[in-house]
Amino acid sequence: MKEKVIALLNRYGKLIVSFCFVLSILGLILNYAFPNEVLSTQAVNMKTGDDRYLALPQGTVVTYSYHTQYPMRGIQIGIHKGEQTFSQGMVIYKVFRTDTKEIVANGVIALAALTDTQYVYMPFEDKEKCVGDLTLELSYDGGDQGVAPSIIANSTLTKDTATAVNGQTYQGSLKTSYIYSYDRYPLKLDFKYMVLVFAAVFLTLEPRKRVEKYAKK
Amino acid sequence: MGIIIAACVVEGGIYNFYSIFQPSNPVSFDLNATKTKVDTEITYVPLTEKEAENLEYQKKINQQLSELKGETYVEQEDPSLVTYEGKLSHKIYNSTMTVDLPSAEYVKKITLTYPVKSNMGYHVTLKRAGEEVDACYGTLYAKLGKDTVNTSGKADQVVLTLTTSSEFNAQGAVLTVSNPFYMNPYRVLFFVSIALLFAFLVLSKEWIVKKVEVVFVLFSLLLGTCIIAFVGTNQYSWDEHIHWERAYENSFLSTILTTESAMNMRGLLTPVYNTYEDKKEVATYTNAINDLTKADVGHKQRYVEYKYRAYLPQSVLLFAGRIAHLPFTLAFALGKFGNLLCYTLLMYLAIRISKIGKPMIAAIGLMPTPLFLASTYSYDAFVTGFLMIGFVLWLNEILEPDKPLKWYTALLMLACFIIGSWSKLPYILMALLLCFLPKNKFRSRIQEILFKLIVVVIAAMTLQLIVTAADIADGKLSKFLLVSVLLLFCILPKHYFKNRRQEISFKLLVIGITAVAVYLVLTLHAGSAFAAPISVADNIVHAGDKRTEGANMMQQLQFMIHNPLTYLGILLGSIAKFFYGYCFGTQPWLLYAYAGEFAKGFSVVTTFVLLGAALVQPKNERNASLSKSVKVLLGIMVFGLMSVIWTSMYVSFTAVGAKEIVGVQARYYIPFIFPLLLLLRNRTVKEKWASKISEGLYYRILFGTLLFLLAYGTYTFLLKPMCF
Repeated sequence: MKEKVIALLNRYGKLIVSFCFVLSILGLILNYAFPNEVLSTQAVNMKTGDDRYLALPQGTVVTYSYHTQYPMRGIQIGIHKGEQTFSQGMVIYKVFRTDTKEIVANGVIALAALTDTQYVYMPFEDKEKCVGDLTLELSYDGGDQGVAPSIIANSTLTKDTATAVNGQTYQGSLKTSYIYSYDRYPLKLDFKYMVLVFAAVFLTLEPRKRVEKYAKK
Repeated sequence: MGIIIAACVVEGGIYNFYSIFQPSNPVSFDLNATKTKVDTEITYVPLTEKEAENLEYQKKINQQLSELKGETYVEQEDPSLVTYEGKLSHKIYNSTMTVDLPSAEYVKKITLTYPVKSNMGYHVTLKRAGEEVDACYGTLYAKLGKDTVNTSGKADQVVLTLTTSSEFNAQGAVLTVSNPFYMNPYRVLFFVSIALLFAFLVLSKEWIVKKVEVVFVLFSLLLGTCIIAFVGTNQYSWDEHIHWERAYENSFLSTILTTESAMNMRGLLTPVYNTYEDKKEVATYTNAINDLTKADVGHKQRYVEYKYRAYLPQSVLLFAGRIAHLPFTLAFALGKFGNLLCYTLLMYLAIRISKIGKPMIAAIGLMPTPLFLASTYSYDAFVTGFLMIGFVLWLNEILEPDKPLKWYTALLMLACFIIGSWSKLPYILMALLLCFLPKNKFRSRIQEILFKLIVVVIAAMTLQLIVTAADIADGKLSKFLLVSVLLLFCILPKHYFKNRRQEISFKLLVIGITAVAVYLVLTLHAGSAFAAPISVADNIVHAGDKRTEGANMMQQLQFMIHNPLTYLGILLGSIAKFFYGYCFGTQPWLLYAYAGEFAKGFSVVTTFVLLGAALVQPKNERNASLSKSVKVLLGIMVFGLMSVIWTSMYVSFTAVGAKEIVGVQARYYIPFIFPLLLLLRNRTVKEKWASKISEGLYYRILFGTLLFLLAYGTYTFLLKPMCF
């Protein structure tokens, strides 16, 4: 039995190894083609103990200008409901290029689904556009009368940022975390090992003529 | 059958001697109802520096929490803490009660039942005519509310001292004194196993000479099962709660259901037992809270990370235990059995295929510490097993320098070294041994160079994982190396192919595949590689073990670069200082982690076993010899691995600039002790001594000594303190 298996391995060695080698390369290529996107949160200004609330009634606009070296997947901003009940109110966010005013991302956050104080993830659809000098604009569209949320800020002056309420510079910054994303390739290492191992193994295969001689025996 | 009956007789006759010849009925005392006089003594124990720091820290946290909530901070006073002689101290109440027994009787077990809110220590003293007969300590766990201690002696009085942080209230406290006759299944299992192995050694001469691997399997499975059964849910191995957590999480695909039992194991919160009765109580409690419908739900990726794959044998059997709806304690034991099974199989294969050194591998594999590690949640056994097979395959090739290397042997060797290094990356250096395979193993010089180059690339790629996550995008160097390896196939010699046409087709195919791969890799996700900052946790600047104050990987590396001679002195000093202890002493071989260690004198026995296995060679191995160059190579590899292990701990675990390296454990040496022992093979001993000893006697002495060590260790450190 053992001899038969060894004879088979000798006979079809090149075929098996070549097949596995090609499979490994294909696997490696596919692995690079379909990566897993992973989010990475970078706290920019999350200092505690100094929270201030910027009221966001209807018609008020809070802007936050900042610079990002890498394409952003989103931003996290603190929203405080002040123990008020919201059934229809929404915080609208827009991100545009500070110089050209071109809108690069936008969206809405329904307040009803939030807890009283929550740091909300505002996703940016096309992250490749969200890089460089950008401005985040926050406004409130309230279906509910007489209530308005607040945006959480503090007195820290964060580098490369500027916060303003209705165009008036605010002496402090919004509390923010920048959300980036990067790709992970789960099987990359395995396929790399396989490519290398089968490449090495390929080199130990007996030349075809010898194999044929062995098989005839 | 005879052995089982004999074990039962020993259990019934010896361990229940007093229960048979001095029987007595169990007596219970309601400590509240009997109105036993309680003498309370108050002692003050000043807080340690660490405790004081923790208290201050907790206060600050509570203050901040109140501020965050917008509440006024009110300091919560701990009534058990008082200022005594100017120092903040624990106020300890030692409440002593004396219970008079109806008559003087033999007391074997004392059970205290008392519902408490936090774990509590107590002390029991047996007295007869006012004289102390026996005394012991116990811990009453709040989760159980019941604890039993073993005593021995005839007594007419029991003095119970409870240590509490508030005044003792006897409500619900019951003390039971008993001398029961019972058959302890763990003791029976132990005696049956030892007797079976002993009988095997005495009776089957042929097997122990010709089938060393089968003897290994018998020893490993029987005694490993004993260890699993005795240790149960007690977590005594190194970082066992962490290994358990990883094995448990990997037993789920993507949704992890963590039951309360699993959480307790993860947080080292399961009550520790030290008697047979407590073991049953803990099992009942743990099984009762293993409710999957009330489990904490977590998520993970389905893909098993390379560093956690060593837990797969444990995870697979944990999964099997879960789908079979086994009670938690059984499933927990089954997970450990997965590790034992994998270890036994790998070592069996290593012994079976080895051309020389079978007794050495068996001796290393059956030493108490490696077997203990294989019977707990850990990755060590997996690592040792795979590296051992990889090394044995390499050694076999070295012993036949003129026989060409077969492709499947090369595949197995590489796979074993890679898989064995997943959890402990520096061991990949053992794979570099393949670079020293003789030239006759290859068909041409080009093949040889290419093969060895690829081995170096594999080792470099593995070592790179120490500082880079395995699944992020590659750097330019990594891509360049991979592409180079592929393109190198274009220089394969022509005799490799049937004809010129086939050669050209093959080489064009390689170039084509490489080109497509490069194109796809460069274009598909060109922007994403390193396009975002990796989180702080992944950043090497902050790397360094958090358990050691002052450890910082980058700063330590800078220190080493600026002070190379100082570091060399520290390294060589550490290796020399611990050489004997870490190679032959009690630490790598006779240490049951936190359960206990053999007396230092036993290192004589381990040295005897290891040197005996190395120097005295069985008949069929005597013709094989290792050349001086191979021995030098092995010496360099062993020294290199030692240096890498000590250096890695200096870099990651030791405070920057420290004069001593901390964190290196003797068990890290286990995978390369076999190559080290091979250095001792010598012709003089082989010819002068070995031929005078019969093989049967040699193996009996070897396995007999191992059986003695395992039996003594298992009985002293695991069975008696946990299951009596």
